Amino acid sequence: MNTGPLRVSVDTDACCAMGRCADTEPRVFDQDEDTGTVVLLQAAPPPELHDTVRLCAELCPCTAITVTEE
Amino acid sequence: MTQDAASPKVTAAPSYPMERVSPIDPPPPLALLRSGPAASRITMWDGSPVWLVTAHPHVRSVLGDRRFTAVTSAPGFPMMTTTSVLVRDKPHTASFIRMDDPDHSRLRSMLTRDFLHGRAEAMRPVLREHLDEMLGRLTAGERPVDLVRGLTIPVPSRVIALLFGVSDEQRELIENRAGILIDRGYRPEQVAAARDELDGLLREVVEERMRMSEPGEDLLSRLVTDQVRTGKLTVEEMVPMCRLLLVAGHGTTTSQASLSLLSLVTDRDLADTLAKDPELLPKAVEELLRYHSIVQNGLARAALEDVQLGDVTIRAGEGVVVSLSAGNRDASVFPDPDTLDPTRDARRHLAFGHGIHQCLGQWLAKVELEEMLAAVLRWMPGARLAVPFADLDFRHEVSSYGLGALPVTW
Ligand code: HEM
Ligand code: HEM
Ligand code: SF4
Repeated sequence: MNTGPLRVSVDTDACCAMGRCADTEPRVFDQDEDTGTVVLLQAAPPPELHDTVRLCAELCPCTAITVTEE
Repeated sequence: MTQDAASPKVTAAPSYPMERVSPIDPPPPLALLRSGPAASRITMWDGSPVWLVTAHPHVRSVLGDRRFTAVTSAPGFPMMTTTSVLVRDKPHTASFIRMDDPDHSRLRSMLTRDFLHGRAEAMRPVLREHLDEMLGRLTAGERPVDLVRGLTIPVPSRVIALLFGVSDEQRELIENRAGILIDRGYRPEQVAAARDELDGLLREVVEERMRMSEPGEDLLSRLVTDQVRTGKLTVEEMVPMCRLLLVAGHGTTTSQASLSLLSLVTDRDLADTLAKDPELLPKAVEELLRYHSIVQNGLARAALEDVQLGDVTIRAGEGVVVSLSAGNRDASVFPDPDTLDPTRDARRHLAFGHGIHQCLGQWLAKVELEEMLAAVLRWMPGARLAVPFADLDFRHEVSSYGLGALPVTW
């Protein structure tokens, strides 16, 4: 498994407020209380969160989460 | 495209929907198609040629790709049933599940707030009260008890009634019409009449809110205050939206709950595991969604332009059906896929779809399912089937697969 640096970005326009990310990894993703739009809590999460962050990108139905790895 | 000539079960264009062999597992030909090309030719019940997509990654890419439309009047759009033809011919009554963006997201976003995860969680205590009352009554009477009539039909409709803030009297009327929509015993013209009556009832409820100087806190009141009175939504748009919530949220939850409870009363391991460790319930519910995949015939789309899907080119104007049940039994994503395993991580399941139309009610549905299972475990410990398995009334005709009755004793 890749253990290099990992960066997360979110596209709030693409986000359809499904909340899969915040449910799966609440240490990295939150949702706006009113609109449900994704709120990114940390763009460079530590290695122990990498697996769930990758899963969040996969589970996001609206392809609003991008993960880049070196 | 290539077909496996050695396989007798896969003809050039199998007809669709396919028949089940086992009441629990998807039709066997799906597994053969899944190991073939990214899309296979099938012939719909009305004779039209359509692509069928069965592998998990390809199902995801079709549903996540905006070059595939959900508008039923688009050229090539597959007609799943005779009633879908009826809906296509009345485009003015379409709801946003049959629209593309931006129309779809304009309407759907008006509802997002009411269906956030946190909002679904907030319904839990009220729901638990209702369940205790219902099960208290059920368990005080004679055995066996039919959990479909007694539990899985009334619970989803009560939840919608709570959400809509309708009176008991209105709820009964709506329950009755919505019941006709999900009962296979009625003819298409009776269903159509019930649908018109349902629209009439919903219009009355909406107009009642319109007349109030200070509407309440329920979903309908909020839509009237925030959207209709500010000119962002017409009453003509709001009625199909309410109907969509009823139709998409009622039969589906009933079917999924009925089959989940069937697993609970027939699978000792599952019942023991959950009785011992209630913390596993959310995980088990995801797995039951994967395993039963009640939207059994899948979802329909049509290509707006040529799309390369794996090794297959789908041309503009061609129809596509994605099989959620085949994708959910894809061994490359779910090892040993035909085994129900409440401890597996089933979150990648496709039971709620994928892409911009992914189920709006998914959190609410999961809360309902968790609470129904928990309530049966609480009130009917050791519940078991009261009739032979072979006598169960599985519903094949309807677009979501379910049970007509679930007689249990304990
Ligand atoms: C276990 C129960 C349920 C299942 C299996 C289920 C399944 C689905 C599926 C597969 C879709 C996607 C349809 C498509 O892409 O064409 C969908 C959409 C939808 N569902 Fe559910 N559903 C369930 C419960 C609910 C509930 C409880 C509600 C609301 C009260 C609801 C409301 C909706 C709505 C409004 C849509 C349309 C979303 C859109 O077009 O953006 N569903 N559902
Ligand atoms: C128990 C299973 C189901 C039955 C018996 C059923 C039955 C029907 C019938 C009779 C109609 C035509 C009448 C009408 O337009 O209201 C209809 C339409 C429709 N159904 Fe289903 N359905 C079932 C499951 C589902 C599922 C799984 C979904 C999607 C999640 C769904 C979404 C719709 C939608 C969107 C319409 C079109 C009506 C509209 O645009 O509001 N239904 N259904
Ligand atoms: S899972 Fe995707 S669509 Fe849902 S809130 Fe997160 S980013 Fe938005």
